Amino acid sequence: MDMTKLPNPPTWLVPVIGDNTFYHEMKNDRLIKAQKTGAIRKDTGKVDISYYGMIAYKVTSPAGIEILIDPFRNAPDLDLGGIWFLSQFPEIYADIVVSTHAHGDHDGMVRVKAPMMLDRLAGTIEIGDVKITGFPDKHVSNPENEIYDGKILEKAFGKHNYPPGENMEWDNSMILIETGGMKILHWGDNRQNPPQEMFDEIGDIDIFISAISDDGHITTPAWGAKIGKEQLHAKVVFPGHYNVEGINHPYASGIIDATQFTRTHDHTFLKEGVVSLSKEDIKDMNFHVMYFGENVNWDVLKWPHKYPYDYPVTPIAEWPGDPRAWDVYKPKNGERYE
Amino acid sequence: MDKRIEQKKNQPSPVIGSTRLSHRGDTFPRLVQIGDVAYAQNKNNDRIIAAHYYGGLHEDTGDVKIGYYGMSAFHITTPKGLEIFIDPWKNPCDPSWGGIWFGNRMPMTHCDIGLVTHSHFDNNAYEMLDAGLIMRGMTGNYSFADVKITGLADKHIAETESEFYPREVMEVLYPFPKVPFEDRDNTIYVIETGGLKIVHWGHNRQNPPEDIWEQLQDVDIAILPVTDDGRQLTPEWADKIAEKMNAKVVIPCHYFIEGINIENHGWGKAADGYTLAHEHTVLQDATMTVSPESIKDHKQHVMYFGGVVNFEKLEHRAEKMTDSVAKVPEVKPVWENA
Repeated sequence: MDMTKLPNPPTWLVPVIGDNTFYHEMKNDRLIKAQKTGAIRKDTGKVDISYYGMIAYKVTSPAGIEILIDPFRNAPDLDLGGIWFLSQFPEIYADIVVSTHAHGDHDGMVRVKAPMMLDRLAGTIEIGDVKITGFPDKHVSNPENEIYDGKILEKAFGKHNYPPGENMEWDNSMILIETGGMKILHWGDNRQNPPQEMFDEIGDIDIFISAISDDGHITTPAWGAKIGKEQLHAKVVFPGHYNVEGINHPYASGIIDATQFTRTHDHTFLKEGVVSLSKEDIKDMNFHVMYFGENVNWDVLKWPHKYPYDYPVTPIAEWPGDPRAWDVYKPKNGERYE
Repeated sequence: MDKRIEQKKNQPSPVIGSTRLSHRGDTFPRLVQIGDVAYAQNKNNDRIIAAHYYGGLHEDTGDVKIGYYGMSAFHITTPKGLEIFIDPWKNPCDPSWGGIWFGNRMPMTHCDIGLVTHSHFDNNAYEMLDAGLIMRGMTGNYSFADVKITGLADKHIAETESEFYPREVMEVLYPFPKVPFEDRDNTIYVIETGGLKIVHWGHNRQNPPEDIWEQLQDVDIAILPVTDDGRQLTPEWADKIAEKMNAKVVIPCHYFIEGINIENHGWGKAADGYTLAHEHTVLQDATMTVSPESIKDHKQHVMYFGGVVNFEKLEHRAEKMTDSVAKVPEVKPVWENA
C-alpha cells in the first residue's frame, strides 16, 4: 500500500462524536438564498413528500425548501436495541434536518448533508414559505399491540420509560410544518394520548405522517385511526415506521409493513418514492391512506443482495491502466532471458 | 467503464460497518461514527414542555444573565428562566485538524436550548450539552417562551487582516476538507429577550451583505470574537462592527485563557489591550446580570470576562503533576544476602 496516496487528514479512520458537518462538502448557500429572497426556486404550488424508509420523510415546500425529518442509523451503542438496519441512510442533501427524538431510528443526522439542524425542536421557526413548530411531548411507552404492552417493555429495558423521571430517550417532539397552505404533522414516536390542549394547539391538519405499522410497534392501526380521524381530522395519512426489505433487519424490533392498515381505509398504493400534493388535490379526502410501501426515494440493496449475480463484467481491455506493466522488462530476443 | 464504477460507488453499503468499493476518496469515516448522543442524557424534556405550555419556567425577574464558558461559549438565561447555550467547544476528533487546542474539556453543561453558529470544533461540541433541544445553523425567525432568536446565515471569516493571522496561517489552523475557504458557513444569532437585543457573532466575516446589517441595528450587547492579535476579529474591525451595530456593550470572546487554551497552539493573546483602549468594566464574576436599565447609558462599553469562566479550570495542572511524581524507594541490596 502506498501510504502517500492515503488522504490527509485520514478521515476514514476518525471517530466522530457529535457534530460531523465538517465532513460533508456542504455550504449554506441555499439557506442564504431562502433568507434573502424567501424562496429557492419558482413556486410550484405543490408540496413534495418523499419517503426514505423507516419514518424518514422529506417535505419540500413549494418554494423549494427541503426539510428531512427523522433519518435513521444504527444506534452507536449495541445495547440500545442492536442492529436494526441493513443499510446506512443515504448521504443526501437537505436544507433542514429535523429529529423528533433521540433514538437511533430517528436521529441519524450524521448521515445527512444539511446546513441547518433542529434536534428535538420546540417553538416555532419561520424561514421562506415554511413555518415549523415543535410540540414537545413524550414517547410512546405502552403501544398496546398484540405482542407487547408497557409492562413487558419496562421489563425489557430494565427501567420505566414513562414520565415522571424518564430520560431524554423517552421524550418526543411532534413536528408541524405549515407550507403551501397545508398543515403537515410528523408524529415521531409520540405517545397516543398527549394532553388535549396540545391537540387543540395543533388543530385540524391536512397531512398526517404517522408511525403506523400493522404490528403496532409504535402506533397500532386502531390507535392511528382514532388519533388521525377523531383528533387531527387528517385528510391524508402516510404510514411510517414500518418494515422495508433491504433497510430494516428482518428480526429487529419485529416490525412488519402497513399493508393491512392501508387496505382497511380509502387508499392509494404509491408507485414512486415521491408524491406532490396541493391543497386542492386533497380537499375532498378524509383519512385517505397513501402508502409508499417499499418505494423509497433511493436505491436500496435488497438483502440478500444481488451480488454476485449482478456484478458488472467488464472486458479486460477496457480496464484503466496497463495490465502488463512488467512487459518493459521483456527480452528483446525471444520469450525468456537465457 | 467509469460510469459503471461510478454506479457501484454510489450504491450504499449493504452491510453495516463495511466499506464501499472505494473508501479512499471518501470524506466520510466508515469505521467509527457516533453522531448525536442525546439518547444518553439523563434529564428529560420536562422543562421544555413547561416552557411550551407556560411560556417560561418562573416569574419574570426582569434580568438577563450571561455566563461565560471560555472561547465563544456563552450561557444566557432569559428573565423567565429559559437557558440558552451558544457554541460549546472541544478538541478536534482528529488532532491533524489544527492540533490540540484545549488542555481540558468543557464540562457537561445544562441548558434548554443549545445553539451552534458553525461546525468548527471550537464551536460545535453540542454533545457536551445536557440540552432539551439543539439547533445548528438555525436560519430564520425562532420564537419560544420569552425568547426570540433570529438566525442570519452568512459565511465564516476568511481574511482577518491581522499581522499574525494572515490567510495562509488560518488555512493551516483550519484544514477542514474540501469546501473552499471563503465558502465556510457561519450563522449570526440575534437573541431578543427581556428587552435586550444580544448578538452572538460566531466567527462571521467582517462584511456581511446589507440585508444582514439591517437586522443588526440598535444592538444592546454584541458578543464579538475580538483579540489583540486579531485571531478572528482585529480590534479595528471589532470597533467598526460595534459602531455599525450601534452596540451599547461589547463582550470580547474567543481569546487565550490560561487553564483552557494551550499556549502556542494557534493561540497568542487575550483581549486585554482591546479592553483597556475602550471604556470598560472588568468582570469579577463569570456570570453577569444585565437589564435594559443597567446598560442604557453605555456606548460600546467593553465588558470583559478575562479568564473568569463559569467552571473550574485546571490552572495548575502541570505543577500538580510534578508534585505527584512518586518517590522511588531505595532498592534493598538483597543480592548481598545471596
